[in-house]
Amino acid sequence: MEKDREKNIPVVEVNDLVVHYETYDGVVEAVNGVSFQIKKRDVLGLVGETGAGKTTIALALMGLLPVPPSHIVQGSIKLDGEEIILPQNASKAQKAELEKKMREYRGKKISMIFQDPMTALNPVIPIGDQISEVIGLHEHCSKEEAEKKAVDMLEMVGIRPERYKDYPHQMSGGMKQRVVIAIALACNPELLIADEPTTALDVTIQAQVLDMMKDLRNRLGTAMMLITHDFGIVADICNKCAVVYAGEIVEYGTVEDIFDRPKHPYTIGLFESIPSLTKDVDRLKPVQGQTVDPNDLPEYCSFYDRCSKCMEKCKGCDPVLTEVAPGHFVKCIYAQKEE
Amino acid sequence: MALLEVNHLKKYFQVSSGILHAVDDVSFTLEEGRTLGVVGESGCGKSTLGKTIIRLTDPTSGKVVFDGQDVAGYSVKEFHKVRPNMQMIFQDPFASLDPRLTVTELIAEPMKIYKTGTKEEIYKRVKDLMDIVQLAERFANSYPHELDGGRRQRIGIARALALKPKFVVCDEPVSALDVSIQAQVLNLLQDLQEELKLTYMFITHDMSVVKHISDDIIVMYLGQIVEKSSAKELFQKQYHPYTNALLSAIPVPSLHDRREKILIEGELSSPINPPDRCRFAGRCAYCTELCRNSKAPELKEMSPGHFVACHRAKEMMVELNKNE
Repeated sequence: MEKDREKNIPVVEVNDLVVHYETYDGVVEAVNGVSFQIKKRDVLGLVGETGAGKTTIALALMGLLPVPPSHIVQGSIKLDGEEIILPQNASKAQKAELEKKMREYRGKKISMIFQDPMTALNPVIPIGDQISEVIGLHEHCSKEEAEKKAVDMLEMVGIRPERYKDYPHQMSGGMKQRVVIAIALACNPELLIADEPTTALDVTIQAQVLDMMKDLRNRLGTAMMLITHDFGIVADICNKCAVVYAGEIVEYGTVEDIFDRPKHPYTIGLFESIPSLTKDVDRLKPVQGQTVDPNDLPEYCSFYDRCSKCMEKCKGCDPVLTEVAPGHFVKCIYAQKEE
Repeated sequence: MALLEVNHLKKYFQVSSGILHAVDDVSFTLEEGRTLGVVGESGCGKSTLGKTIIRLTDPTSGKVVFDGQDVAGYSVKEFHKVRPNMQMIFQDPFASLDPRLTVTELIAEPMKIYKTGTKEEIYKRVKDLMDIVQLAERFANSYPHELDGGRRQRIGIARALALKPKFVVCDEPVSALDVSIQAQVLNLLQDLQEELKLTYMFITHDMSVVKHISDDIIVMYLGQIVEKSSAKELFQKQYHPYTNALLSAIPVPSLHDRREKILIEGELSSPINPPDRCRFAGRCAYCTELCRNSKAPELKEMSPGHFVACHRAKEMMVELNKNE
């Protein structure tokens, strides 16, 4: 297994990515030096609170960040070994060329399931046509072939083909999310980004959707990046996990590392905040305080103000993500010292 | 005596394609100082049940006995006198607060409507309330859009507590919040219950939250109660196939406690003009001819305090808990 993985080059490789949003109220430091890679068959869970920068990372991978206000300050993103971030002084022609390339990649190489199925679909186009549109664009096939493949996709996600001509408003939330998934998977992408794919759904429907995603990974080996704030979903489907706080990865490792040997006080705090189904706990132990304002990040560790383990030393410098065990990285002075 | 007694409560809505049975013959009692959890999928009538009890919508029929008085038939004017005792915390702290009022004005509003005292007294109470819900004084003149979800939800809680209620309906009060903030708010609600002797009806679709906070739980499916039990027992033993599937579908945040998931096929069927038979039959893995052809099952007590509405409840008792 391990050998098998080493042979693959990563489907996506992100290095030291920094993204800012320039607003009237100042610069929002949304993503601050994030690096990770996803290989074939890997499912990476990106966990963090609202405003931690999870969605910004996903949009950067898709090349969908709105410019302005967003601004990729530095870093590199390699899709299948190919760089998709241009240097600051890139010419107009280079930009146009990259955009053309990205249009080909989106939907084919890399695709995304958006958070809200209610708004991700076009309300005036039948759902079947929305699926065949992607296929027609990327596979350069005839309309009939595209439609036939769209029908197959509908069947795969468990929607009866008779509903091809239905409009989104005629479907329930779970059904719409399946359509969104069918669109994302229509051209067998190498990387699937799912941004909170089940947040808008009920638990029973959520279980159906997660099951389908697992099945895809097993059959097609699709690499996935799953953005969520629910550790339950991570345990269910991911094999790698990155905990994001204030635009930085504070802990990264296999799910075993994160669930069984969490090191960062934030990760531990998150686990203690979740009401348990198995144990009886009288009081929860929440992470104190509120998320830091990304408009005004401190020079030192950005978790300092909420941390239960903070020391005088923590205010002196901003820790770096360090490997504490093979494949297990933590960005915390306290946790590193413990080793 | 129970603080709240709901008897055969029904709430139907007339829609263009028929009659929508949002709450269909729901009965339960709630003792003072306890928390009743109400769970179910979206569209099962949880919120409508809460709203009908505190008369934000008028019931179609049935009784709501609160503190010895049947308030379901009260006129708006009569109910006005009862409402200070029955309050609600709403789901979405982003939509439930008037964006043009400051925090102080928002919390003072219910007290102004009920003229509970002079201006000075009211503003003093606002300060106390902000203190109770742990909202720093510096936010007194902020507007809701300047605050994050957790703080906004604290305003919602302060508003609900302003008139010193006995009974509070909490409609998904933490579902819009991040886990760490969610835990802070849950702790706050528990502290308040202890200090002020509050009785909660806690509506949610999050099973781990409901287990944490409730004493008793009712599980709803398409407007009806399918199972009712103490929280502790419900998580150990389920007698209804729906509850069983619902609990098994929760993603557990642990790598070791992996359970076999029971997938329910399909989605909630339509609550418009439902036929008089078991409403879960179409999705049920244990459904038989009997379930499809006979009348809707009634709630039966299977073990002390544990009620279930299922034709095959006795067999289910054995079937669903055979791994024990």
